[in-house]
Amino acid sequence: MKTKDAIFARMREILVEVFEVEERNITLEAHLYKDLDFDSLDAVELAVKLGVETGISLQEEELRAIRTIGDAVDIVHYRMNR
Amino acid sequence: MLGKLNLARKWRVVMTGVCFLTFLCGGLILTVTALPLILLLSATPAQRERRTLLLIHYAFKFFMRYMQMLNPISSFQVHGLEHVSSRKGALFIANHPTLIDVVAIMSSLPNCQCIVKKSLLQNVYFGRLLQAAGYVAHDSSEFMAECAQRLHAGFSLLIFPEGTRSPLEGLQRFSRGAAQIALRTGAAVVPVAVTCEPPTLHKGDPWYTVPSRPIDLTLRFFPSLEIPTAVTEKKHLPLQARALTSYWENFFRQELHMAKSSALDPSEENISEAAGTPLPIGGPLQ
Repeated sequence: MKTKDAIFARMREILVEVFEVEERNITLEAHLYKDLDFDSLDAVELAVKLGVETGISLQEEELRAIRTIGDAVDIVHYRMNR
Repeated sequence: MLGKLNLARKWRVVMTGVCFLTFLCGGLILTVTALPLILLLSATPAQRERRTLLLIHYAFKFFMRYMQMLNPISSFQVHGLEHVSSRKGALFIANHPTLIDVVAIMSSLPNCQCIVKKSLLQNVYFGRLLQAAGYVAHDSSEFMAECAQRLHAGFSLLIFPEGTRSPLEGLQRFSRGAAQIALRTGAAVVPVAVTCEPPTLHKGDPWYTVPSRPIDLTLRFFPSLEIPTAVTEKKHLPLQARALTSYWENFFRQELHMAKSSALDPSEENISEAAGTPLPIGGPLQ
């Protein structure tokens, strides 16, 4: 799960299963808070789920900087390949 | 007649101003008199919090009377307090039609902390009191842990799930923080329906826009709400929080709607309640 595509694919699965987001709404540009009805606790939950699988734990500032799904993919990708 | 009404209203503007001033000065005075004593004499944070909460509770009790005396408030009624009197570690959820409702609720609950904006804890007039009382900032990173700790220590929490004051009609969408607290801590959830007639002190209302007559403020405490199985059978916490939040939202919509229609169509119960209400203590014109 080192490529951005793989990370995005896994994130899509999590969003569908844990948050019941509709598949067609899941794009790299989708805004978590505006488009997907996230709140900050949801973002933490998403980060925890991703963290369990990737072994990275996002810092609070990193989490706060995430706006879109693409942001989340980028930051996880960056952290995994650092 | 109209002129008289206008004068009465002007008088209420003045009295409302006096109430605001009293509130702010009261906050300052308690901060420099009672609060240092509490800080000095309390051995543990829990003790300090309990004492400061009691101070706020009685100050607000006094302030509710004061507002009735000076006439911005015509009547203040509390129903269902028997559901809460012996409760510890409960989560109170309330709608938020007016600035005054938090004072009214706190004047009814001696051992309850409130979830507020961080900026309120830094307020010059009463921020230190709220800090010493252990109020929780919802925009702090330790928010969830702090809530759990308070409930565990036997304090109750009051939260306005709308996050800000209600619109003129109905409710803002509930944010899901309250549901997250309930789901994570298992605290008993007690709804408090607030009605304020006529509406006053909305978000953005300047203090001097007083309503057409002194307000009737009513708090209705309900028996605690079970978490429905439709919520608990969902597998993931985010989904549970969504389901529980919309369940609560519906509950409030229904209760407020019923309160409104029974107010428009006075039933026997309402008439007897109104008869039991003391006449407002008059302004200078009565």
